[in-house]
Amino acid sequence: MNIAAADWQALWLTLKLAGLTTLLLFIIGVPLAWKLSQWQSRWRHGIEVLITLPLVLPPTVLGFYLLLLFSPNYAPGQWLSQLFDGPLVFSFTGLVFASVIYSLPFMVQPLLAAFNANGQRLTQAAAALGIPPWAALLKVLLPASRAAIVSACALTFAHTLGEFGVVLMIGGAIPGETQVVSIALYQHVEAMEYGAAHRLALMLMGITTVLLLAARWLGHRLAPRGSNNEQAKPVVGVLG
Amino acid sequence: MVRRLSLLLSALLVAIALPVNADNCTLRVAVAASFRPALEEVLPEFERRHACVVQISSGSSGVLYQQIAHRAPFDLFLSADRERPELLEKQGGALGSSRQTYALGLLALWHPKSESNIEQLLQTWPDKIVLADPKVAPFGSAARQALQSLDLWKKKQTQLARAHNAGQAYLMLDSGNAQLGFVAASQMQAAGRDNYWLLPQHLYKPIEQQLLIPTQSRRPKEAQSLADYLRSGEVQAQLQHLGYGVLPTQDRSRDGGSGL
Repeated sequence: MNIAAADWQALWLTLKLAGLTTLLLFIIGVPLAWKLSQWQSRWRHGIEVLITLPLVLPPTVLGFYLLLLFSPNYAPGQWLSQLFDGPLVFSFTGLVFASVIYSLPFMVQPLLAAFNANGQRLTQAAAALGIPPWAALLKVLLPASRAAIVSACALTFAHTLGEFGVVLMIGGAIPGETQVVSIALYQHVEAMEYGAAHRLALMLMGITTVLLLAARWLGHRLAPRGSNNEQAKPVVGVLG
Repeated sequence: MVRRLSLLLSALLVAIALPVNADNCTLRVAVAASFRPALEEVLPEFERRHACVVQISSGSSGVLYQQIAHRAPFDLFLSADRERPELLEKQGGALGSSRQTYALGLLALWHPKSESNIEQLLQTWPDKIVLADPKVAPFGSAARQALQSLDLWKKKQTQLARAHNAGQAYLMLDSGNAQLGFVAASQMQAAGRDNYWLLPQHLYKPIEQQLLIPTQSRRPKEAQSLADYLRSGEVQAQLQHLGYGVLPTQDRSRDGGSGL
């Protein structure tokens, strides 16, 4: 397979973007899902729906609203530009920011399902033993939800790998900065370079397949043995 | 329950798929997204004269080309470039010699409102410059040629941000995410904006927009009437107000004034 240098660069950039997004979403997603699972309020459903919205909006439309959000014509854009030390549009930072929003449901939903299944039970048991809530999360709940964590990370990573519409709107296809695989792939198709498109698509699908298979295998390996709780089953495939 | 629902759904689908009046004339036109507003402007008059309803499908020329090459049921194809109709013709997808130029795109440079010497501004501009992707968008490759003619293509390489097409390039500028960039004059006209510089036409190859009648057209006669109408003097005069150029004369010589 002879893949052009620019395409390798795009592939590397995409892996970097997906990896970083997954890491950030894990850091954001765990406390968020945990808080939600502990929260007994009517508002909770509202927040859960809000988290699901990136699934509903067509990615190009999401990109369009991000474009408005980043715009220096309005206060949020000016503030973001100060916060991130430069405009977010046409930049890798901007892509990470967008991907975190775009893939949020893929991280939060599996975690929420796992925490809902046995979060209450485990945290109450931990509380009875005098373990504080945060320690209970780190020492009890997270280890018990290993399978779900693997699923959530795998889904988030794969979803971000294939991200297209959002990047199309805010990226600017700058090689090494914002030209990810999906964009390079589409450019090949549009320019009628079908051979290059097939090779790149094959690479992308190959990587994703290997990744998801590895995640499934890990999920099965990590499922706590001897406990017959429902949550241990990995949720890859439920969302994907 | 499921069966009843699926019956209802199929009935609905059939109802949608059937034209309101089966023996009515409907003409299915695939048009490049950028030309859609102009087409909608001049269509009512055509429909009035020909008692034929025009159904518009718009998208990127590349996608429409793919669809038509795979026998999508369109009666007329209005592309935003010359390459794709040429390619279709080569592949035997065009009816006879129906391929013709129907509009001439003009390249414009969106610039900040208060500027006067635009060419100098372009030379010294320190920030991002937006253009449509030169590889796939006609206005993108025209922008590249213009930058090459001005000897700026290499110098500005790191500042160029590629939007997917002219429509997105416009959105980048309109949303304030960039202040300088190449768009189509027709976009600026449609939005009623005057903060643009028309690039001298010798700086880039003419952006010829061509049409053709696909072999699968079910109404080649009406499609030809619409093509003639688009190339007629009255529509061309309208198009010039909408930010399009004057058609090259050798193209006007084949003036089929039928249907007027």
